[in-house]
Amino acid sequence: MTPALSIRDLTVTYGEKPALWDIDLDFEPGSLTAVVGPNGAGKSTLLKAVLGLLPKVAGTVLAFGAPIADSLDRIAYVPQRSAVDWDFPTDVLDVAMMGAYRKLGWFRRPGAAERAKALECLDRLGIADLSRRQISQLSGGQQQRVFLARALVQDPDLFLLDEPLAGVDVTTEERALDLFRQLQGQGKTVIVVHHDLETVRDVFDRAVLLNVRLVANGPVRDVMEPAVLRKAYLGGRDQVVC
Amino acid sequence: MLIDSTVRNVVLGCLILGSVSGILGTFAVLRRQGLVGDTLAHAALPGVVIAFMLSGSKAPLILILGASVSGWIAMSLLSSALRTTRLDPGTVMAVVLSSTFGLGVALLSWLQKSPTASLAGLDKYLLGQAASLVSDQVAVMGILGAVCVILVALLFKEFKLLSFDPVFAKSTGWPVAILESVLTGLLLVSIVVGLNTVGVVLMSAMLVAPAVAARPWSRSLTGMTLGAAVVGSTCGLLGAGVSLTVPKVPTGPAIVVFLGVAVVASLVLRHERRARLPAWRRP
Repeated sequence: MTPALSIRDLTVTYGEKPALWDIDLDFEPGSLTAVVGPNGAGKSTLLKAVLGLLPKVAGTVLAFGAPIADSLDRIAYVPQRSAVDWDFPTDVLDVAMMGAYRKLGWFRRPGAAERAKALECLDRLGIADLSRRQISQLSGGQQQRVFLARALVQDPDLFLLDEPLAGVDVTTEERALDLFRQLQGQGKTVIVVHHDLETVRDVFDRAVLLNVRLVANGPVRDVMEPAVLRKAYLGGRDQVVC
Repeated sequence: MLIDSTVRNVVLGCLILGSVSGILGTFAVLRRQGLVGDTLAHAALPGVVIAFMLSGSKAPLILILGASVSGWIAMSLLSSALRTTRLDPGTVMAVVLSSTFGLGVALLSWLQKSPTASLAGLDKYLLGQAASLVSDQVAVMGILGAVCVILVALLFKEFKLLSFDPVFAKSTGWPVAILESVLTGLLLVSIVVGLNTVGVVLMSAMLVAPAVAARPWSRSLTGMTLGAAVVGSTCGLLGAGVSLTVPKVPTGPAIVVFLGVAVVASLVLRHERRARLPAWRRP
């Protein structure tokens, strides 16, 4: 089967410093993967480099067997919440509808169909009642749910989510984890950069452990082993001490 | 009906300038690029002077072309410096802004001393003189202003996405670099539109202040854009009125005083009103 996402020899640097070194990864369609690793391991960088948002030093990335630039309409990227200015003058529905902009194409404005779709996706995350609220009035968890709804509006086959559970309330976390399982049930491929090692085992079926290099990749029970984790988390620290 | 042609030119000029700079300024403010507008405006001065020196003409189109070219060069300098060094954007802009403006003032003073060339009223471009607007200039302002308004209306959804979340825009396949160039190009056009009326020194206030005054009252980008256009044209008209009636007051500073009042009034009123709202309704 063609992988949903296939990464070969990916290397990314910030200046002289390597951020990702020679990464090879395949993600099967319908898999639900957590990307874990210490701070500065290159987790967010991996998503950005895959999407071509950062320059690669080397490497190729294929989505569904095609070059990534030709597959962007099948991919939804959810950036970290902090990536945008939440004081922007707009409301929840408007942000969710942004997920439909690319399919609309140049010049065309969103209409009734896009509005209905956005409301439906907001409802899936339990925030349809907030649709007319200014985004400056949202809690962190609500902001995150707006971003997830925007990704659903895109109607993609592959989700790349950057820390969607960082600093959110319990309800949002449950809603989001529920959503990931539903998406997996629909055959979607979901890749989540994740910081909380506790929940990885309960929700995800695969895990990728990064620390600039690829440390481990496989079923959750193999990767989330103390001995393996120590290699990524403490191995990195030892190098710093030396 | 006969209206004094100076008054007509000034009223039209200020309406066009106020709306266009309010609209483009909204995007500049939301993208935190107020200083970019200031840099482009100051960099326009040497372009105006050099265009006059080369052509010997002060036809509005030629001077505007000069302003656009030097503004564009400054913008390229700015972005290549930001790409190749680790300097803070504010620092780079300060250098580009002051050195291009210095060049403009130096050339202007040199022209003023040379006995052969008439100064042709180029010093008006420093602080603006709405009373000197002629019909030709207003016509050019109108055409450029219309281009800005039409393009913003057509690309409103694209510019909204670019301003709110450029990284997401890129991840969905929008050509973000092209959209950014178009928006910056339009910002440059809006600056050029205001050069005779407000002048290069204070043009950035014309971009930034209306948007800042409109922001606290806006619930949507459309609302903020229209609000800024109204604030910009109202203050433009008031300032031009003062400059026409009180001798020797240049238009730019007069407009900017009204803009300052508008910003303070907007923020104070908003604060007052918010204090009276229940907590859950406060934006």
